Amino acid sequence: MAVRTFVGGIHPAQCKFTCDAETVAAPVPARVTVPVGPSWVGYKVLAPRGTEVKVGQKLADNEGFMCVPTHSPVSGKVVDAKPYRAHTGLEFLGITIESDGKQELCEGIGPVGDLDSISPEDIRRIIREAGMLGMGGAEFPTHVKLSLPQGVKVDTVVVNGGECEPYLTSDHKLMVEHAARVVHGTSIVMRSVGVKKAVIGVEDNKPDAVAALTEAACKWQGIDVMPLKSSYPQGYEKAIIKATLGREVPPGALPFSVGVVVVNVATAAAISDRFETGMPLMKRLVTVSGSAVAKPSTVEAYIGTYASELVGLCGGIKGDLGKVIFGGPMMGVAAPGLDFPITKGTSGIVLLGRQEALFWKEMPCIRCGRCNEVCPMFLEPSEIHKYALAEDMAKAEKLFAADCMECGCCSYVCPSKRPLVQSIKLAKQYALARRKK
Amino acid sequence: MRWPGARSDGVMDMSEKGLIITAAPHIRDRVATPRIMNAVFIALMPAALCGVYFFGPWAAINLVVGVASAVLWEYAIQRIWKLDVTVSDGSAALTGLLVALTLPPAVEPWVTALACLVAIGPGKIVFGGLGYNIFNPALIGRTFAALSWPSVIGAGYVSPDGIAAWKRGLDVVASATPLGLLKSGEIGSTSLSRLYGPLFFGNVGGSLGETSAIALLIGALLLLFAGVITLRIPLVYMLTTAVMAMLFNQDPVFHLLSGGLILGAFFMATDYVTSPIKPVGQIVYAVGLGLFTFLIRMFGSYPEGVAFSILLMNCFVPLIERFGAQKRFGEVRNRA
Repeated sequence: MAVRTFVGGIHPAQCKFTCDAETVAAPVPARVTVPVGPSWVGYKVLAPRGTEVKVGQKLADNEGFMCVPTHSPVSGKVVDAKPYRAHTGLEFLGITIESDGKQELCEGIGPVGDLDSISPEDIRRIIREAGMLGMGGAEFPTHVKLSLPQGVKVDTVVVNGGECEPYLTSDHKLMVEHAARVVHGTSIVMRSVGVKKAVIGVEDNKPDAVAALTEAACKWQGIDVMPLKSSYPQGYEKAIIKATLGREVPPGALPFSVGVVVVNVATAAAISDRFETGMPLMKRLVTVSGSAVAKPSTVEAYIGTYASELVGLCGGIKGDLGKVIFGGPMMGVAAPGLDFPITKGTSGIVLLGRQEALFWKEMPCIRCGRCNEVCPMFLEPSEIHKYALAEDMAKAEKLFAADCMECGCCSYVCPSKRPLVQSIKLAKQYALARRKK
Repeated sequence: MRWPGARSDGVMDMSEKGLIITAAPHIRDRVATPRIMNAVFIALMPAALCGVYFFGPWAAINLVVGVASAVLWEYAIQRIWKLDVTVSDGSAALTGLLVALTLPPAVEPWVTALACLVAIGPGKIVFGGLGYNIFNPALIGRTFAALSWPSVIGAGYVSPDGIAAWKRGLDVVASATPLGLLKSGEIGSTSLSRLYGPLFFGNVGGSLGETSAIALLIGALLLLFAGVITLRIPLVYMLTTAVMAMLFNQDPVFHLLSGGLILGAFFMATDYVTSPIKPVGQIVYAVGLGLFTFLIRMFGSYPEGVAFSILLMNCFVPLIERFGAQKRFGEVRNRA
């Protein structure tokens, strides 16, 4: 059988420098700033300034459906609980803790017993209480994904091991080194949504991950590992469903409308940890790479660690640093520095040299149509771009600007280096805002 | 710019070092517009060299005049009108080359230079420059010259004598083109197969760049492999012309190989700016090209119809683009 993938997409240079290097376990940081969120509005701080906290202790929570609690990854003293400017430029509520280095465990943390005796509702509650967010970058609350509307039935769980962004190898290392955890977490997700079948989609440029997962999955019923032809943006939810199952999620709909629930491999592994050890989500793998990093590696880091410390752990900066990217180079955010804490969704920190980071000269559109060919949503980026620049957002919306999933393939291939996806994102924001009215 | 941010213990403080902040994506493909222009320029070199070989020194002079004058005109016009000078994008040089290739090899060079002026000025810059022109600039220039000085153009077609042409130097021996002979009835439509060889290899009268089918096809293959063009427009264009020829009891192979059909189909009809983007539109466009090329050759007062049909179909591109909406990902069409 031919190796499957989705339609469209691009093949940027992989630059996966860190896929053969051992994963480095970061030491306990002296200071962390744990972001509260996804959106911190309405959060109640449970550990105000001056509180002594232990590992795994809840720092803040919000009863809202779309909210998950935040836990302390270290033991120590809360020195600050106030809004801070995050790497994205937005304000977040951050809880800054000075670690005492003892890493004392919070009381009540322990494994969940026999899975069969727990109801799906309880599984979702445990997942929420453990602060699970989509770790692929979107930071969508996992328990929300697993809570299906009344009457909706799903038949398959797709576990997303796409990791199509260049440079990033955090999911790759996780799948190789912690395959059993990924598979165990998958089985928990399957149980919480009541399905018997799961597919772990992995790009075929990670044969060692495919092998490790296949070996781990053979002990379980109904979990298949499927190698996929490498292509960006394979890790996009709708793309990986198309690639693994051949189903297309309709515009504006969520995966459950085609009977699928998608979770990231890192999220699955974190869920497994919660059930095996009782640990909430407070550590993750982060790839620190790029030409301006002395020793690129994948680091197991505590959430809230400052990027500067992780870069220091990887030998520091090499040469003339031009750009700091939180996430991968295709969809990541360029940050104004390294003094920002990593979040649950930070899969990588990519440092580019100044030469690589320089601007490309923008030229007129020559209507080559490359953007149309690569768009995984089958949009016409050049047309939407044209109307968005003319601020004719109504026309842009008619061309389905709101379908855009912001992968950036159009901007990547544009020979005239036009900021296509940037303008389409703007049109999308207009369209979504208008719909809300 | 210094952003207010939470500060760590200060392992590294980077915020003063002028980091570049842009929207994603932070990496771009190596393919760039000037590279595309240069690729097409290089792909036309086999045909240009064939023209120089067969038609002698005048062909070389006209090629140099075409490329140099087009670049000069663009530079001059943009300087005079105080626009950004864009000669470095390579499109002016390419236009100049195409003008020279579509004109007769021994046409007086001032015609080539003026054709380039019209191509670059009214053909491109008045529309807003690269990317905004409605018509193929080179064909605007070529058609302008052909309509303005028909006798000078007619005198520019010379005998494809190769080495002998070079020995004669600047003296020329006039020659007719196969399509011209067909139009005037001097060659019948039955005995054309003897022309297949000359048409294919290039020792036949005609415009500078259209003489050798094989040289053009080598260039076209280069562009196909480089991913600059797809087969859709040229193939449908040529197939339509061949089918039309058969319907009218003409020799399809002769029609495919003669005139500027191969040059036009692979290098001018595929011009991104003046052709449709969507696959369906490209097919409609190419069918139109085939129809008009053949109808002009058969029933028009000019022997050759490639240039006219491309300009004609260029007008229809905005209209063609309105049809064939793309299917959205996940869209269910049969709901009606």
